[in-house]
Amino acid sequence: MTRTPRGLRAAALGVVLALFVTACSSSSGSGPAPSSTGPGPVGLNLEVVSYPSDAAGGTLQLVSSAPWSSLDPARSIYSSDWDFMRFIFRPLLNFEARPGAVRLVGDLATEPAVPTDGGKTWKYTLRSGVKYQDGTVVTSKDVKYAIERPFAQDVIDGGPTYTLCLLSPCDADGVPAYPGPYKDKSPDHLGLSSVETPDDQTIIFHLTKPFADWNFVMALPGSTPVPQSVDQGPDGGANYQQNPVATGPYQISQYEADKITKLVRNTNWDKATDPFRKALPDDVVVTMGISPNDEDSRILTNQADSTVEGTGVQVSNQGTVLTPQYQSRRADGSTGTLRFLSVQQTVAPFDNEHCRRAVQYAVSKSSIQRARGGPYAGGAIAISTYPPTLEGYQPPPDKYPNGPDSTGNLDAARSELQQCGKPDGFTTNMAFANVKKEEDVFQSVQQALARVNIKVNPAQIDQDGYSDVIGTPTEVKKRGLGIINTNWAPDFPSPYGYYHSLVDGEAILPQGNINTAEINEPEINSLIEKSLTATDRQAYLADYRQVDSLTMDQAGIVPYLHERALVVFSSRLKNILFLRAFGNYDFQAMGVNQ
Amino acid sequence: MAEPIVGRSPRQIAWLRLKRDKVAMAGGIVVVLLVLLSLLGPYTVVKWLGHPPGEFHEDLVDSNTGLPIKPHGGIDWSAHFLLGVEPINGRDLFSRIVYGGRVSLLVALAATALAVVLGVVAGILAGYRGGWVDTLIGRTMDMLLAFPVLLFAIALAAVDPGFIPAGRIGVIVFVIGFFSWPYLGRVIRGQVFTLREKEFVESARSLGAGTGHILFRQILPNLWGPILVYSSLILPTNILFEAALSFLGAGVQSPTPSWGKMLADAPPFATGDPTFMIVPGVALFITVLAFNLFGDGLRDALDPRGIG
Repeated sequence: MTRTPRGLRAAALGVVLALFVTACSSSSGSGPAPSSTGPGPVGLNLEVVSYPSDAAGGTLQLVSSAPWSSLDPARSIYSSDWDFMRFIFRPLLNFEARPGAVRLVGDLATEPAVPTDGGKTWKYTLRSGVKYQDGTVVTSKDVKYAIERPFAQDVIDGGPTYTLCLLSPCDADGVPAYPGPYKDKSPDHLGLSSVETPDDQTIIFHLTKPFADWNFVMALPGSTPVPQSVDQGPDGGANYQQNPVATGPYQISQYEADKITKLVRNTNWDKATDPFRKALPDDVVVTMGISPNDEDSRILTNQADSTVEGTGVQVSNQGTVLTPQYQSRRADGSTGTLRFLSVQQTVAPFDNEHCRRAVQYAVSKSSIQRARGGPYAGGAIAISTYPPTLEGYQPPPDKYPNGPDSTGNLDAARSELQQCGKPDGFTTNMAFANVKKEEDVFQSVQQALARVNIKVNPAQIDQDGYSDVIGTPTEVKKRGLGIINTNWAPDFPSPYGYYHSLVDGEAILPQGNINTAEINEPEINSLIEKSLTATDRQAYLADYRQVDSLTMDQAGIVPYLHERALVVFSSRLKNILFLRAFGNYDFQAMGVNQ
Repeated sequence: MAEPIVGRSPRQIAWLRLKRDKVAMAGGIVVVLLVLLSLLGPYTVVKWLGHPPGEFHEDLVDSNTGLPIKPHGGIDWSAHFLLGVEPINGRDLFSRIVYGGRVSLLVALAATALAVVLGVVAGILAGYRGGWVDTLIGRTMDMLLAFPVLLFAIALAAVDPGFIPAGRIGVIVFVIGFFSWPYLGRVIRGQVFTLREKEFVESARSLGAGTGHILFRQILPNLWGPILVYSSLILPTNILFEAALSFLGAGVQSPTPSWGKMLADAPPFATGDPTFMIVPGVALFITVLAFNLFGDGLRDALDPRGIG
C-alpha cells in the first residue's frame, strides 16, 4: 500500500468521535467524566443533529485557509476535502449523514457489498437514473474507468492508492502491472481485467488478495464515476481537477485555485436516487486562502458559516469562543487523531524496553494537554492507542498508570530506569516542529522527564520538512532522535486503516514511514494479516484491541491525547451534523437561515 | 574669573561633561542596574522570590484557555509573581525577564567585543598600511555592509541542528559580531589615516620606533574615544538584533529565556493577556533606550569640539 507524505496524512483526519460523547451526554454533560475520556461536550451535543431544518435556499459561506489538495476525486487526500466533495460527487458507497457511529451506505451503488470468494470478490449494483451534470446516464463502465485512473501515477497522483496492488499484481517496488487508462492498449481504455462490468448497472472487483475493508476504500471519492469522453480530452487527465464533472446535487460554477470555489445546483441530480443528501442551500461559496485568524473572525461576526478544515479556532480566539455567549455556536468534536510521542528503539538507551517504559511513566500528560490547548481545544488524555471514536473501542486497561491527575508516576519511572540499568538517568534528543504548540509540548516533556534525571535536548525541525525527517528511519537514527512528537489519523475509519500504517512491521518504509516507532512485533503483524480475511466482525475488533494492548506492552508509543477541535459556527447555520468518519462537520447537510 | 586656570586631562574633561549631562547619567545608571540585575539577579532576587525561570506553575493558568487565572497576566505580589506568569505553562515572567536579559546582554556584549576587535585591527591595518591592504579591507567592508545579514542569519540557523544551546548562542554572537565590525572599521581607518601623518608619529618614527610601537603606543591611545562611543552605540543595536533573530525563530531556542522569543510567543495571547507582550517589550525598550542615551552622552563628552 502506498502512503502519502506524513504531513498530508496528519491533516487527513480520519476515524472519529466516540463512545465517550455518548457517555457524557447521557449524564447531561454536567458531571465530570472519567479522566481517560475527558470532560463532556462544551457546546453543541454532537450525538444529535443541531438546529435541524429542511428549509432550502440561501448561500452557504465556507472559509478555508488552505487550497484543496485537489478537486479531482482520485487525487484529493485531505479528509476535509473528501467531506466537501459530498456536495459534488457520488462514489459507490458513502458515509451515512447521521451523528454517532460510522455507517456505510450505498451512494451510487445500492448497498455495501458482501464479499465472496474468501474476501476477494466484491460486487456492487448501481442505482438506476443517476446522471452527470450534462444529463448523461452514469454506467458501471464509468466507475471502472475512474478506478483505473490512479494506476497512471505519473498523471493522477496525490490521492490514496489502496486499490492499486489489490487490483493488479505489483512488483517488488510496489508498481502495479496495469499502466493506467492513458497507456491502456485496449480500444475502450478499460483493460483492467480484475474489474468486471457485465452490464451497465453491475461492477465486480476481483482482488489479488483478501481485503476486509474494501467497502471503506469504495467510500472514498476515488470510486466516483468519471466520464471517459471528458477525461481523454483536453480537460481530462491532469487537468480534470480544474472542472470535474458532478454527479451530486451541486456542480462547480467557478473555481480559482486558492481564491474561491462556487457551487450551484446540478439540475440533473434527482433526490429520489440519493440516500441521504438534503441539498438545502441554493449555492455554496468557499472563500479560500485567508489566514486562520481571519477565518475565525469572519465566523464570529457571521460573515461566514464554518471553516472547511475543522481543525479548531486559533489560540487567540479560544478564550472568546469559550465564553457563555458562544455556547450555542461552538462544538468540540473528536478529530480521530491520536497525538503521541514515538520512543525510538533504534536510539540507545531506548533499545531497552524499560527505558521506554520509564518515559511512559514519567511524562505529565496533563501538562501536555495544556500545551495542546486544554481538554476542549486540545483533546482528551489518552492511555492507549485505540481512539474512543473507532469501531470496537472498549475502555482499555491503563498499562502505565500516570498518577491520579496524569502528572506522572515518578516512582514507577525510577524503578524502570533501574531495570534499564540507568538509575542515574540519561540524555536524549526530542524532535518537534518549530511551531508554538509543539514547542510547548517539548517543554512539558523536558520538564517532566527532568524529574527522573532524563535530560531531553531540543531537536527543533522546520515544520515543512518535519514529516520527511521523522518518516526516514535512517535519518532518525543518524540524528539520534530518541523521542519524536507526532500524530496519526487514518484515511478510512476502520481499525485496519488505523493500525496497519501505525504499528505493522510490514509497513515500515525507508521514506514516508508512518510506523515512526518502527514497531515490528511478529504477534502484531500476524494479527493484522489475519484481519484481512476476517469474516467475524466481533473477532476482528477483539483482535485489534489485542493489537492495541501489544503496542502498549512494546511501549514505543506514548499516547497522550485523543485530539479534539474546538470550532465555532455562524449563528444562522442550521442542520449541523458531526461526521465521525472525517472528524469534521457534514458540509452537504448544512443549511442557512435566510 | 579669578580662579586660577587648572590644567585638565582630556579624560577629566570628558568625565566632567558626562557628569553634567543628566540624561546620559540617568541612562548610565539604568545600564548599571540592568547589568547588576543580569549578573547577580539569578543568585539574589530570583532566588529570594523562589521561582526559577523554567519552573511550571500550571495551577495559575486556566486549562481551557491557557490564560493566567489572576488578572493582569497573573501578577500576584503576595505570591511573588512580580510581573505575572506566562500563558499555557505558568512560568514566572520576572525570572524569565532577568534570565532573558542575561542572554541578551551576553550575546550583545560578546558580539560587540568581537566587532570591536575585528574593526580596530582591520581599521588600523587599512589606515596605516594603505595601498592594496587598504583596498582589500575597504572592499571587504563594503561587501559585508551590503550583505543581507538577517537572511544569512536565518539560513545559518536552519543549517544548525540546534542540539546544543551554547553552540546556538555562539552562532548568534558570530553572526552579529561578524557583520557589525565594518561600521567601526571605517571610522578607525579614517582616524588612523590622519593620525599617521601627525608630528608625534613622525617623530616616533624618526627616533627609530618599530611599527608595533607606533601602532599600539602612539596611535591606539588616540582611538579610545571613537572605540568607546561606537561600542556603546553598537551594543543596543546588537541587543535589538538578537531580539529580532529570536523573534524570527533564528535565535536562542526555548527553553532558554529570550526577550525576542517571548515577544514572538505573545501575539496569540495579546487580547486575553496583553501583559505577556508588554513586559518583554518594555524591558527591551528600556534597555535599548538607556544604552542609547548613555552612548549619546558619551559621544558628546568625548567630542573635542564640544563645549567644555
